[in-house]
Amino acid sequence: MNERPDREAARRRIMFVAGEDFYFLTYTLLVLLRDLGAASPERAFFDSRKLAYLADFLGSDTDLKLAITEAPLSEAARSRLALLYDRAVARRIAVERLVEAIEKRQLIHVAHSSRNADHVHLGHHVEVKRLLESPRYHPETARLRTLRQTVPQLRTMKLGTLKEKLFSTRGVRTWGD
Amino acid sequence: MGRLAIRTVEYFGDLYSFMSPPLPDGLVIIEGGNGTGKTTFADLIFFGLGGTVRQFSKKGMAQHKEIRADSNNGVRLTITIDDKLYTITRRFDDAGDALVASHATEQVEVLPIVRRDGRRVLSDWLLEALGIHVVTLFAGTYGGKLNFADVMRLIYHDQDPDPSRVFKRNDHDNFVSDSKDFRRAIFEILIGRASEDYYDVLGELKLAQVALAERHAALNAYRSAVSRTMRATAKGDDVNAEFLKQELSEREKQLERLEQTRRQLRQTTPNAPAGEASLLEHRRALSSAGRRVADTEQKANAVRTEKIRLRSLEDQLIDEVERIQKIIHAHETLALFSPDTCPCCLRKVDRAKNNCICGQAIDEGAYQRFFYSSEEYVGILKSKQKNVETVRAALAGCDEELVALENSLTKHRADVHAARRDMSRWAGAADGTYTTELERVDDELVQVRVSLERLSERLELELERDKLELQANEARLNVDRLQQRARTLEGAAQEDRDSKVRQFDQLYTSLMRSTLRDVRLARLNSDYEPILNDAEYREASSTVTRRLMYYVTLLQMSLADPTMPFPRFLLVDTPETAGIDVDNLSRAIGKIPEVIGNAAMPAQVILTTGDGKYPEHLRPLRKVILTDSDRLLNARAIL
Repeated sequence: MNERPDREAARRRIMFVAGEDFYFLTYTLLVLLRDLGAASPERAFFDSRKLAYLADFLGSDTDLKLAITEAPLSEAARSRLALLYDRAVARRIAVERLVEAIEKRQLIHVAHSSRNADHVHLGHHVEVKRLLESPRYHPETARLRTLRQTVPQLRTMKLGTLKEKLFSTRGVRTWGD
Repeated sequence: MGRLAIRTVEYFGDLYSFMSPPLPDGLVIIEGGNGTGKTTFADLIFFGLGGTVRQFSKKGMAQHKEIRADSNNGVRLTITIDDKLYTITRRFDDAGDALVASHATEQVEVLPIVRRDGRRVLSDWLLEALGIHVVTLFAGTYGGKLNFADVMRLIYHDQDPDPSRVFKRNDHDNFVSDSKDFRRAIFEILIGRASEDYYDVLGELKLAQVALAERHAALNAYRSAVSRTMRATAKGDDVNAEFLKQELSEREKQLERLEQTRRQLRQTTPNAPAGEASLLEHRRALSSAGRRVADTEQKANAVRTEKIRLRSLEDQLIDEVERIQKIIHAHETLALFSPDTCPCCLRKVDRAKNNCICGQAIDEGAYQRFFYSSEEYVGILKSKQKNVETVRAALAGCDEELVALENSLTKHRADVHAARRDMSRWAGAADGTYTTELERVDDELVQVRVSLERLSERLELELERDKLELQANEARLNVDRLQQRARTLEGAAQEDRDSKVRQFDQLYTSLMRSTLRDVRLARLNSDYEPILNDAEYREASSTVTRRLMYYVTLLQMSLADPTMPFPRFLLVDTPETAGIDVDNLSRAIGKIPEVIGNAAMPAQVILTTGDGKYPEHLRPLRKVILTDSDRLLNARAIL
């Protein structure tokens, strides 16, 4: 009788994927907005869908190397980059829901300028400020700085261009538009 | 030669569609005002035949608005080649391939547009069906196969902003494939069988010359490798295979004699086998120690590979642990989601105990939650941290195993060293004065065997070199043969070309004189560009007539000569746009049905033109009329 809760807890532990967690996407988006200076409507981040494609690179040094190296990718590296692309496509819906949810909680502000793309900037939220003050997220900041050297204009870049720069030019066929 | 005709043109897509009426032989007029889709009609045909149309491409500034906005769209052409019916379908979203269906055989082929990996492409299919050889053309070191789009440069009279150029612009900005040599070759291939054969042989000759250069390079590389080996083994003695075989045979005889002597000696020398047994023992010891070294090195490499894999796993797990710590921190700071958050809209749901999110009664323990609580996150973190520890323990195990293997390796290497030393000692002892005649014979036997082995190796190398020499010679003979054939064909092609050019000049002059009142003489220069009145005539308004009549002359020639490769088809797009005099244009267009009507063979010319910009008596030849309210991709205007 007592086995079921334990089994259920173990199952949920196994089902956990850090790269798909809403909090992972939340803190990555907040760091991204803060570091790109997207704190007002004039300097808003164009098209929140880009988060789905950036999250893995901001979350891991190993994955970031695949996006910034100038050397031709090995077969294994290209296959890893293709996997990251598939994961990014899979998390697009989660990003869409997340943006809507944290907008309602006023963590961010969203303006819808065109049919697909939105403009997002940080709200003045005490908890967000507190969260971002934590040195825990310094690695994300450092990775973003590195990524911006290879892919500048991340804030205003169109989604298609971002995908091309991160994946297509590195031999990964993009899909899912 | 083959004849091409377009029978229907269909555009399909989610937003727009167009279906032409059946298009007959003879002159077919597509009439319409500016911006109604005349050029799109002509471009759809060109695209369907494998051409590149910049406006249809996903990239570039001047994109075709309707076609790029449409989805699931493409072109379907029904064509006849020598009265055999085919359907070619090419899509815009996947423009890299075309589907060709034969109505007679019901065979369907998917053919790529771009030539890659030697695969047969749509252009090859079209040229083969039309009986035009897919020749390889060369300009300098660049070589490329003839494409149907190249041939279309004298068939598709497009709307060129600069009609003083006779040839349609190249599909791709490639200065080589747009060179004078390429343009001359295209003209010559279209006018004559003899020229086509000549270019065929020229292509073959160029490839044969490349093959000869490769064979020479391979042979030289081999020669130098062999001479290095010879220096190392036989002191640079360069001997051919026949002499080596002779030497080998002499050594074999010598070996046979020595073995016979040895057999006789063994019967009289009692101590001989002891030395042999000792040598065998040393060899066994050396071989066994060597095997142990190899095995241990293999094991050590396997452990190192495992270590690399574990190290990467450790990095991944550490990344994940750090990410979970950040997730926990974000959860504690922001508290955005709880186990009762709706998985669809991420809002908090007030769920009654023992009820599902939708209100259904369930056992509370079976309620499926989509978000994690703080305790669960901590549980996950602990489990991942434990995984890190496990991987680290495995890494430590690998390190221990590696140390043990390194120790064994040192020991096995020492064994090899000792076995070698024993062998040398044994050999040193054997190298002394010959205690018995048997030892001397044995020594000589070893030398002869070694020498035999080296001779066999050299013979093998020499035979391989002979093979390469033979191949290089064959390649040289092939080049000579093709050069001879090219010389023979060049004469015939030149003669054929001269006669065709004379014929062209005659017909072109006649067409130009009856179209432009002040033209007296029209002829081709050495690059097959037209010259009017010996270059004195440069009237700007005549450029379209000059170009259009050039195409019509080619058509006229093909109608008189069934062996000419020109496919008796012309596609002319809105010729009036270059500021031409309207009367001149009307006269020029009027020449087309005359040329076709006077011929014994059928032909098709598709002409798109502005409202009434053609002789009145040709009105019945209109098959599609486009207007502002009935445009090509808005409505289907069928007469």
